[in-house]
Amino acid sequence: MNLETIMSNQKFIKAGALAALCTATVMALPHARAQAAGQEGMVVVRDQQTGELRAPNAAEAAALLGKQGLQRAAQQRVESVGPGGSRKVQLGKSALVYSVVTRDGDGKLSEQCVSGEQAAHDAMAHPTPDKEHHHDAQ
Amino acid sequence: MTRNKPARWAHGLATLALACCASVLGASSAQAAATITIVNANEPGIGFNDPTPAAPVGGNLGTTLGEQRLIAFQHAADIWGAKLTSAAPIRVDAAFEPLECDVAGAVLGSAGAAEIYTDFPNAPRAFTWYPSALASKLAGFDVTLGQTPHIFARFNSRLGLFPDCLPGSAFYLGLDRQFGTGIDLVTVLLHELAHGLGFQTFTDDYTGEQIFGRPSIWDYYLVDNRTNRNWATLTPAQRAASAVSGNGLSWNGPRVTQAVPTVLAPLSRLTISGVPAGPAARDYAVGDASFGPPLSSTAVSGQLMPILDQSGFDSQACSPLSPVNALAVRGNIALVDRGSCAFVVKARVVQAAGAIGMVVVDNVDGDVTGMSGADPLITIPSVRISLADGQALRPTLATRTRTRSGVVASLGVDATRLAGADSRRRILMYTPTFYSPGSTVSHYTTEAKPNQLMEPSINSDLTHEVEPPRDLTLPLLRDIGW
Repeated sequence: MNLETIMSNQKFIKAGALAALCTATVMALPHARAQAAGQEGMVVVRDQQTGELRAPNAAEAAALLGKQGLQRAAQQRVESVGPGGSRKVQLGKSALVYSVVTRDGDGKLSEQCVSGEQAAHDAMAHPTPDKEHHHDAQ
Repeated sequence: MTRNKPARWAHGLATLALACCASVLGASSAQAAATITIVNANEPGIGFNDPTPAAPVGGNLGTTLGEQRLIAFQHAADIWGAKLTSAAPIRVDAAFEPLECDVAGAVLGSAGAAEIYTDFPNAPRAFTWYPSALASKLAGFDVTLGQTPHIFARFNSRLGLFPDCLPGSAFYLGLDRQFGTGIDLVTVLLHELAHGLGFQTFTDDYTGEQIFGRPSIWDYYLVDNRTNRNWATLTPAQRAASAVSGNGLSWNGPRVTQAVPTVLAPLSRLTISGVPAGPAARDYAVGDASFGPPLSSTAVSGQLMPILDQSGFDSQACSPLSPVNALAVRGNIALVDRGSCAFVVKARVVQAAGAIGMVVVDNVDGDVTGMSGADPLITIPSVRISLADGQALRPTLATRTRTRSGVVASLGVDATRLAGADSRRRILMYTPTFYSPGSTVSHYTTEAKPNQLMEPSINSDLTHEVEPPRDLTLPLLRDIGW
């Protein structure tokens, strides 16, 4: 297969713009605290009105996880263009979906399916709270 | 351990490949066949080649651990192969290898598309990413030209077999779902292979960013059910927000939507009425129980009576009720707090006291969730309500007598709504409000009833069926082009 391999300039432009956006957004959330990506699976923010820690809303989560998103975007995906104009991208492990099982103190097994190797690692350490599962035993 | 070298592929295909072609097909299914080839990527002596002797189990007649793993893989591939069509064989680069695990948890395995393509010959949509297996089916030839696998799959070779890797919970390698305390490998494989076949978006769930600015075929059918705009037309910020919107995304594909009414059951509900209920008289969202009779159009109704905390007795209905509590719930519907024991224990306790139904109030904030457990001797219906709803109901019971509250609870269904569907009867996708990294919109909602293969958690009541009337996985694959 005679393929021409190119690097997408578009990707780097996007990454740069996203980096700037995320920097600005995180700075606009001085009370937000996120555990370092790759170390913890839970993200919390301190509510500026109540002072309580809580789960981030969608916008906060997007801002706090911008770094993680950048890391994913920076995985140097390469786009290849074929003779007929078809294009392909090798995904490698980045698109793998992981099944993780954890056993709680009562011996009950809970399975969850997450996207990405790091998320699988985090899911082992911090299983998704019961509220996100369909069924609890107790 | 992921390998993707042409030389290895040639070797693997020549020496180790196991063709999993659905070969026994009736006339009606003769057109429905795809060849799924499991390419054994394990080195000699490990994984699929593990020589540890194994006794036949659940229809799996392999004589070694490695053989049984391969047969289970083949079985799952056969199920998909019999349902899909493609002129291009689908290659799954598969291996069992040590994956992350400890005494309390483990990565079972992973799978996904190895490559994505746009603008290949006969592509239904331009400028749109398709997984390579699907692109090959649509193109009518292998778009990878045999150079790479279509799907990667890796599974944990140590699961349950070593003291530091979830001991006691190994993969069940039988083909008959009699997995007991084990983990049914075929079910996990069916789920993971579906992701690899295309049950996934390649757009980033967290940022909403598309790969090289192009949508996935998935994104055309994933709609924001508040605006009815599909993901392909949203901005990255809108996509990211919708992924954590709490039931804000639905699947709009015609085949799934047509099948939804035949697969999903009516939505269960708790209806509260009676003068003392005041403004609390309304319908409440409930989580279903996997034990006891399912709710039906014939509602079970009775006075709602709380279990009271009394010294020496358990207010959470984890042990036999006091005489006062037993009198209160007899012939009525018991209101019980979650906690301290399994839901099935609570159901047994209130049933033994004569209750005709049970409502469990959650003990933590959040959306309503179901209750698992099994006990064939439980004959009363049970539901679970949120903590907030429980707090709204309790004051209405303040004026009750020992046997009556005047607040009537009816456990039934809303025939106009389907469990796990939006108001337009489209199935909801998984969009939790509580953000969890790795959570992905490439799953069905956890509110579907019955449980679906492609929910983010694999439930024990799943069958190996992938199509209606039991499951909606195959219709979705058809929607995207299979």
